Amino acid sequence: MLIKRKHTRVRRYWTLAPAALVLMSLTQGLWAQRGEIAVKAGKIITAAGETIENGTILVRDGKITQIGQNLRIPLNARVIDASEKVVIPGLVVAHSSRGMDQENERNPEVPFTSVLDSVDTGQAYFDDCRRNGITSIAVVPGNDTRIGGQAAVIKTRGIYVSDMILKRSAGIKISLDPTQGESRLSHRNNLRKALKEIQEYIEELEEKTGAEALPDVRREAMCRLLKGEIPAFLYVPAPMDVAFAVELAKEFHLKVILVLGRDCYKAVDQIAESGLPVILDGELVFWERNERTEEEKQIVVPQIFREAGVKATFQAGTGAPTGNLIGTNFLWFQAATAMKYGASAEEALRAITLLPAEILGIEKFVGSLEEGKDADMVILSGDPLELNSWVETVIADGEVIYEIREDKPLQELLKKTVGGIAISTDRGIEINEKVRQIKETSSKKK
Amino acid sequence: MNSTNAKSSLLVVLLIPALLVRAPVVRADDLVIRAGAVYTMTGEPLRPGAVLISNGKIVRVARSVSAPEGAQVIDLGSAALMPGMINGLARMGVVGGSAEFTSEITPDFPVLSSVDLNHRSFKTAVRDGITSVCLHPGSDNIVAGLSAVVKTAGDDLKQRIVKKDSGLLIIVGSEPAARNRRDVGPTGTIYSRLPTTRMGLVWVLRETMLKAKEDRPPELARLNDALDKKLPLYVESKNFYDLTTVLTLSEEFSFEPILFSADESFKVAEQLAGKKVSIILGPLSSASPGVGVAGGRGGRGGGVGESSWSKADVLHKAGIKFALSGEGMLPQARFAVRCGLPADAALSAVTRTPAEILGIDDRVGTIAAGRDADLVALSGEPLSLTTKIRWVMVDGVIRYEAKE
Repeated sequence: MLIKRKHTRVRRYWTLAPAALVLMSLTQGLWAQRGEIAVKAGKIITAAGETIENGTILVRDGKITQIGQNLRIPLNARVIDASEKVVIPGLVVAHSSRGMDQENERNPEVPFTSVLDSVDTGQAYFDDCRRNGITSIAVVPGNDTRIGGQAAVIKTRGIYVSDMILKRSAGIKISLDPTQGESRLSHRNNLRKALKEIQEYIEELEEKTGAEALPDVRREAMCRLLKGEIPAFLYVPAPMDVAFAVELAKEFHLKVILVLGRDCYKAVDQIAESGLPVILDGELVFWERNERTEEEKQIVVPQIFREAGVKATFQAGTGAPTGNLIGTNFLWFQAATAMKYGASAEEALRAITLLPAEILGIEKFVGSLEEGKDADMVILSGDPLELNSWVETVIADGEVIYEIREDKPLQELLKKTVGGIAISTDRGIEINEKVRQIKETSSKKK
Repeated sequence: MNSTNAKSSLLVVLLIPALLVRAPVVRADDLVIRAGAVYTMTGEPLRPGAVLISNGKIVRVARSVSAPEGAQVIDLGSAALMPGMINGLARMGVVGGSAEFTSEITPDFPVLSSVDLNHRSFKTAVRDGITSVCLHPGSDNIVAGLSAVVKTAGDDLKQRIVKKDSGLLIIVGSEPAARNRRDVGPTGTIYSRLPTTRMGLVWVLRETMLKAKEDRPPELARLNDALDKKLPLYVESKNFYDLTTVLTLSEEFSFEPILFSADESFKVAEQLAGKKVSIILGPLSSASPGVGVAGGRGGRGGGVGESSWSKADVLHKAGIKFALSGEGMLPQARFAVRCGLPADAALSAVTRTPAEILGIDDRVGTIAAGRDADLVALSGEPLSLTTKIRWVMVDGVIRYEAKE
């Protein structure tokens, strides 16, 4: 649909070629190109520290070319009028094991595998992401494999995963959770051993030259990890594992992104001191019960990390109590929760846009609305992180990938019409009569 | 004109001493709460507002109330005050089995005889701002038993009961039949019992109602009371077709049901609007096939049926009296508002309306003189996502206070 419309525009344009040539010289070379769009916005929250009232974002070839007030809109640009709306950057998910067919490998060490081979773009998860303004996702293997596969950052645009890739090898998942029947002792030991082996392998390779100096396919990704070229998404299930995680990062000079379990807030000081980037568990607010006294205490994780000076990003959760409403299952709700417990609106939005982009090392492309970056943006009906604000339009790489008015399932769920079918009570009365008859005959028998 | 003015001014002069005389007696336990906004639920919120409480009851509500001598004063600043919320569809603290498995018809079984009022779930409810709950027997019997309304906190357990035997609960749905299929051995054996189908269920219900009406046996006295409108008849029903069955039965036996759960009531809103039916709507959910909860699996399993996010608004527009229910009442109200329900209707659906439906509005549901001092202090506007509960008061005593 979209492509078709572009073509007709171009064709129409050529019929005006002579006039256009004159105009071209007048507009100082602002020759409209294919794929140009202009988003006129009531408010642009760039997440780069600036908020622009009544501004315009110009996009060419999927990139933001200009952003600001009173910009000259190229003649041929498709204008998206959001002058009553708020525009924010597309949201970035720093860690998700969803949208995949089987996220956990049963073999304990599979660093050579890649999530790209198991991303299933047909899953409703991707519809939900677009519906909620998410444009970039770091798809990371699950938490059950000691050395899982390689993560990748993909855009939520498209059907074929090969068209969606932003960063092919975004890191390796390493889990400190001994889920496969081992003890923690042997789990940690095996992990160290595996890393040591690669270290030695790298040393071996360094002595070689030419084709022999290249690592084999099965160990290639691990070599990159140990050379610090790609990060480790290090899953830390419990507070007791934090010290080991920090130690591991130091010992092997790993670039580590901490993926924390819920209770790791207890080791917040150690985490703060390490300076490692943090992705919090989906459960941000919960009640913790003392095993002895049964007394309950409310734990507000984002507040604890903020007060400790740790910048942390969020991931969606799956659980109760509001999991079935607007709850932890939505990334934006997680940011709203941080706001509820003291974060500023700016800080909260940053935690699901620019911060995760920085953590993933993709901030040159996404995470904020700045010139030169990918044209990934969300048009909201109102201010972000508010109850009555809805995602109306999502643009990724300059392409409209979601529009609320075309979201049929959502329309269906929100339909305001009073439906219903007429019902007849005749049938019921008929049956009633039968019961009476049976009762009469049975009482006669007595 | 002049004479009327004179008359009214005379009236005012006469009234002043009368008001002075009727001023409440000062007690040591008097308490004045001042707030930036008081959502009385009897009209527009008072901004600012103040509430005078004495002996666990609300004595006065006004824009400003001067504190009687010796009264304690809580100044909430710009924060808001709303009535304690009422969850009309709860089964918390019901221990030792909630449905009698040896009989389908148990109209004399009061839920209260198996409620542990010290159960932890009541504390959780208080934290969420819920101060009254209507507890029900389980949904595995056709005529399940007698429900009751209780407060979620209070030291004297007897005083926590707001309404004993508040209604008789019957189930029109698939649970009783499913229970018989599941638990009582293979069909065709001597253990199998009616009903094992939904057809059987309606048959048993009809037969029982008929028996109650015609023979008036003492064991069905409470069912008779319900059919005679002396006792509210609670009907728990989820799906569209269950609800149409309820409508059919209500015409046959001319009763006025209060519907519980009624998840698919949005589909029969027009029909329900024509009857004297009120609804305590089951918890709202965004989980459905393909939409809402990422990767969520929905479908018709579990008897929940088709999903609608805007069902509260559909009922509201159809003019049906309804309340929301669930563990988190404020999140429920917020979700309903996000999906179209006007804010005042949403607030009412967690406070005043459930009180009216359950017949306890003389005690709870609004902030007005004479009502119980069940209050929730909030950090801001109740339906904002960033609003926190500061404290929750039940009968004049703060039972939960959030640490800052």
